[in-house]
Amino acid sequence: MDPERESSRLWRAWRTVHEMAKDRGYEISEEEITITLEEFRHQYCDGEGRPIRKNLTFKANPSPSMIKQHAPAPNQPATVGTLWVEFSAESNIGIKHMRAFAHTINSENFHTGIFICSSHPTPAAMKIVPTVLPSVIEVFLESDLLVNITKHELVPRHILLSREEKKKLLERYRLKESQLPRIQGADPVARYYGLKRGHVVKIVRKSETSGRYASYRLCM
Amino acid sequence: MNMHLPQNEVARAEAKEIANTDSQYLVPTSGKPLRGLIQDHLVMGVWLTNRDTMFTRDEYQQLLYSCLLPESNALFKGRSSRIITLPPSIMKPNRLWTGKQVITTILENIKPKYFHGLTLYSKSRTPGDSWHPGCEEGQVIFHDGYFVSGILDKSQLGPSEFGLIHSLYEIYGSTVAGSMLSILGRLLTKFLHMRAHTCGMDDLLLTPDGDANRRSVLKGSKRVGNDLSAEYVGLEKDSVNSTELAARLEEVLRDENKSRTLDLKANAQTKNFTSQVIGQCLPSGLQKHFPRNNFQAMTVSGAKGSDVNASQISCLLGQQVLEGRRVPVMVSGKTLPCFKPFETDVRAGGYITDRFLTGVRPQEYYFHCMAGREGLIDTAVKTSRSGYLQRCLIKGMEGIQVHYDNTVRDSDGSLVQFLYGEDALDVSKQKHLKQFKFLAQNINSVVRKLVDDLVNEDLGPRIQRLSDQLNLGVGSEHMKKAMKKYKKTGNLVASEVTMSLYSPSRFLGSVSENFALAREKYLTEDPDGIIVSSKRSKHLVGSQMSRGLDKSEFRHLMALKYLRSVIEPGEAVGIIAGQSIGEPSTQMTLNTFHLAGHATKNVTLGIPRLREIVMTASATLATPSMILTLRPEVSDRDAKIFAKRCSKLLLSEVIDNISIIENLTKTSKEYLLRLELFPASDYEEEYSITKRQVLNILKKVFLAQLERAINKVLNPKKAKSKERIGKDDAMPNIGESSGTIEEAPRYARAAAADAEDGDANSDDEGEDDATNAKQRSRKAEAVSYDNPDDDEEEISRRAQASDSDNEGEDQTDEGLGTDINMQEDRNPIDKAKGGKKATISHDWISDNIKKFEFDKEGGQWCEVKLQYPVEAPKVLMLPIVEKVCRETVIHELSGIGSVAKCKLAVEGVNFSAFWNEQESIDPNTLETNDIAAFLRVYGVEAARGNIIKEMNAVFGGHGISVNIRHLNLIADTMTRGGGFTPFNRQGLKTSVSPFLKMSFETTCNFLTEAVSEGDFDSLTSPSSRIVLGKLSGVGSGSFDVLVGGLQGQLGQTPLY
Repeated sequence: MDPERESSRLWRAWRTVHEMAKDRGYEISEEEITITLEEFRHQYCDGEGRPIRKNLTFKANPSPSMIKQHAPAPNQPATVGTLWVEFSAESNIGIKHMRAFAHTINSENFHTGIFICSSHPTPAAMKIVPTVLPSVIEVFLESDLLVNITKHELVPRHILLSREEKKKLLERYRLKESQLPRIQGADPVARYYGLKRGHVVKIVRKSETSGRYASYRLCM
Repeated sequence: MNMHLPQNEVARAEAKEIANTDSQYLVPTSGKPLRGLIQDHLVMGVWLTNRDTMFTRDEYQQLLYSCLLPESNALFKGRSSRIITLPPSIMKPNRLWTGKQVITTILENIKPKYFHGLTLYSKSRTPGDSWHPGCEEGQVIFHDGYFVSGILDKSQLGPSEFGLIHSLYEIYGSTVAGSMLSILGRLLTKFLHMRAHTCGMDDLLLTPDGDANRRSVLKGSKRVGNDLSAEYVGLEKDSVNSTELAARLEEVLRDENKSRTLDLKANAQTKNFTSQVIGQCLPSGLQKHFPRNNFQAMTVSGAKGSDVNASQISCLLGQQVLEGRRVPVMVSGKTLPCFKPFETDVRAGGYITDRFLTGVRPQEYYFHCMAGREGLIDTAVKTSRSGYLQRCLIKGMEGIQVHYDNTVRDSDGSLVQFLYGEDALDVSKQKHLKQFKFLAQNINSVVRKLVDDLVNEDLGPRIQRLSDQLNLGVGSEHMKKAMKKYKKTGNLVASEVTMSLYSPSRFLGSVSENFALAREKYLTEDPDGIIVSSKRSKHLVGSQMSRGLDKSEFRHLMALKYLRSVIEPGEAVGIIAGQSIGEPSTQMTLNTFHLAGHATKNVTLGIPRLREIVMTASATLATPSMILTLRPEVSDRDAKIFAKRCSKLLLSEVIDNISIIENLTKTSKEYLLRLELFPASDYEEEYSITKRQVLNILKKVFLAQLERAINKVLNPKKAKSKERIGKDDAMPNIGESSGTIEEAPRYARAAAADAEDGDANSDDEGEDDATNAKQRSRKAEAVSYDNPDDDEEEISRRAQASDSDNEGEDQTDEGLGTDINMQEDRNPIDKAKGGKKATISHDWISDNIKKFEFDKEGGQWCEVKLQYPVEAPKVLMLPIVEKVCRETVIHELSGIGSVAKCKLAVEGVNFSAFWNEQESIDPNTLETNDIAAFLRVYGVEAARGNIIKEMNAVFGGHGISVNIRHLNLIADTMTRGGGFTPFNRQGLKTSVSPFLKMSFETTCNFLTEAVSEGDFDSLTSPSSRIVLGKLSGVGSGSFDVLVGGLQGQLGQTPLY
């Protein structure tokens, strides 16, 4: 791939990741999201215009509102913490790379790690993901991040409910958790927001009949 | 006649309240009126209400007596049984009453106590101009019960929205509307007896002038066919050589695509003539004109017949259509034996210039029969398809009903929607909800009906009680703030949605935002000058109502109207949704059609498409496509280049000519292959590719593929046996006699699936015979079910069919557009012509390729020398080379076929490919008809939105409107699990009720499954309840007497 194309792809992925982190509630500065291609090339590319993926790694802290939103049940460990994002330059992600990534997560005590690769990691490498619990590793493909899917006109707003809000919702409609409509954990939007099993999202969409309409889905 | 003898109180109540015809005035699926007057009554409606009709005192009283008296039981409740009459409108020389006065008198007599007269502004179906230019009789006006102007025809008396009857229903209720229908029926029958209606030949005849016009226009249609065909095949239309034309036409007619385009063009041309004739003859060319022309009186008033019937009788039959095309041509090139082969006259293509009035010639008669027959067959075939579609939908949603908290839930309590239709409105009650003008004009009657008090003259106490009960103010205050915030920021989540916080059935003012917006718009604009401004009132309706309606009163009253229109708990919305898809699908005609002008864009439509969306929820569509929105800054030129870059380009498209020289030496057979390309400048411009690219493709792809193809022909056995081993020899079937007949198609299927990158599913199918046997046995049971389950199979079958279709077409049309010489002794090619040559060493490809040369300079030709041992069998090289050329792809975006220029509709689906093209297109508006792809890439909510969009498109394409609430419910049901669940056996598997599943299809399978898993049925789904002879739990069956002391049972029934 020619360096120009590669850097512009990476620039898009970089922006999407930052938007994603921001939408999840991490503290991300506006400049990082609105960075132009030229600035990006200037900052993160080598002399030949090839992007240096190593320099793209970043870390983000949850904002106070996010911490509130994710307030854990009493006597439970916090459900949010520092986010670590790493871009991998390797064309094949094997156990070795994944282990190295898991190591950073563990040693630096990050809560969430986002690993962005250019190709699917091997199945064996994916087996490492659960080993870092309670920390979380999320793997994204660079090609999946070229576009921020939540900006598509058919994708409505998804908002994560806090424990309190979820409880209130279930009481308001006298529902058992299992009776709510669902969203798959592997759903692209669920992955975007980093939803976990048991999370409930509020979905606000434009409606032809009523203007605005709020719905809820339980993450499976 | 039938007599019904209700056997218990429940049945009695049901007959009295539900089966009562007056209560069945509106269609539940659309809210449009169902009952209405038809035929003779409508013609008489026109005659009664026109200005010429006058009655003497005798006639006036006779008419009123005959229509009002039978209704006296219902009418004169609470007042003397005297009929109220009006003073005559003409006193001298005679006392005369008008027809409109008869209607006014009836309205006065049926008006319930304390109600005000009807005020209605509407339109007649009969245009005012048809009486005389500038006539205002097209405007129907009722003012406080007084019939001022207008004609009562189908739009007022028939089953039409917002007509007279519908309006009466809205303000006086169902009983009055019902008796109005009966009264008018009797009145118009009586009037028909007095005046009569007939229709004869003189109503159909044209004037001599009209006939002459018709003939002169149709004369033009004689030539148009010839001109069009000549133009289409590229000949000068003035100097047509008939043999040449026939030869070229033959080529066109043998090609499916080309002849379809020709048909489309011809149809567009003949359509002009048809509309021209009709425009000149109807109605101006007729001997008798509207009110006196009895036939016109029928079509115009909507009593019987339409303009089509009138024009078929008096003008011409027009183009006959068969399967969306003109009359098909036989192999002989004729449509009927009496025509010449490749006849260009549109008459031979089924354009009928004859009319019923003067007769139809035999050929035309035959064509007309062909088209008529197709219509009959179509209906017969379709009913079963749409019936099954409806059954699947209803089985999947039979238990879905509205609950007391306004949520929509399935019978197991799982939630589908938080508010029915997203605004909690009943489809049949919301019709007048936004008719603010009508509501404001009739506000007194409306208020009385809303507060539901027909007894007390003073509504005050009742209104006071209502406003206490309905938390006046709470909902509307929140609404006001929330709307303001949302409007200010434009952010969807700026504020809570009022309706999700406050139940619309308990909080007055908790209305949908669309409704609130429309209400405010009416209030600020006040187009009818009804609203009086005054101070904001804290009351629902203040005492000043008599002075006029003020803003806040109107706001509250409309909120109350909304609250009264909220859907009632227990409504079986799932079944209604199923019916509202099932019923219109019987009306859908053609299965596929081509978008006008774009012969290339072909999409599945109609019932097949509905099945694809709803019943199979298939991931592999028959016609996948995408629509890209170009960024506005992209120039036309760039857009074109972009489109070319996206299109699939085959090697065969740049090749002009192929020649092969075969040479037999003592030791070997040599083939010298020469590919003549189109001039490099041409293909470089046309397809935006470079010579280098072509060379690369030839060198790297073409040679390898050619080699493989030749080897396949040379050693057919070897290749085949290899595959066989893979497919079945390796898996000896014990106890399973896999007959060859059975084997063959399956084998082909697996191959076809493989060819298109096969999914894991079909691979398994080919190899694992054990599961196969199981499937087969299951299929054996399923045969009786209109084999819908084999949809997966059907898809692969379809794919296969289209594959072979394509091949067939390719051979005849696209081809290489050349005549290819197989001359063995052709002169050696003049090599001096070519400049530099690119020769590659053959070693790295194979032993058989001895030479490869490419004209690097001109990019015009390429030569390949192949050598095979002399004992190799003789091969016909040409077809192989042709085939390989057609299979070699110069460039493509995987999964993307052709791209229609400018509009950028793309055949095929591949999101990520276009994510790479963000410079040219806007990725956030990508559209596709592939719902499963949306689910994969954009998540479940986007898929939900796409289901609605796609279903809407299916119905919209046929001019049918389905209420969005039903599509919403279907989409919500399909995506409630987070995926894309079809309404079929697979989709039903997740249902918790074994009886429901068993009563659908494959009873034994579901029964054994339930038994072996120890499943149980809680008897909450309608099916399972009916199986056991219980009342189904939806609608009026949701109620039961709960006897105390049965604590355990009470706990099990959810009491929302």
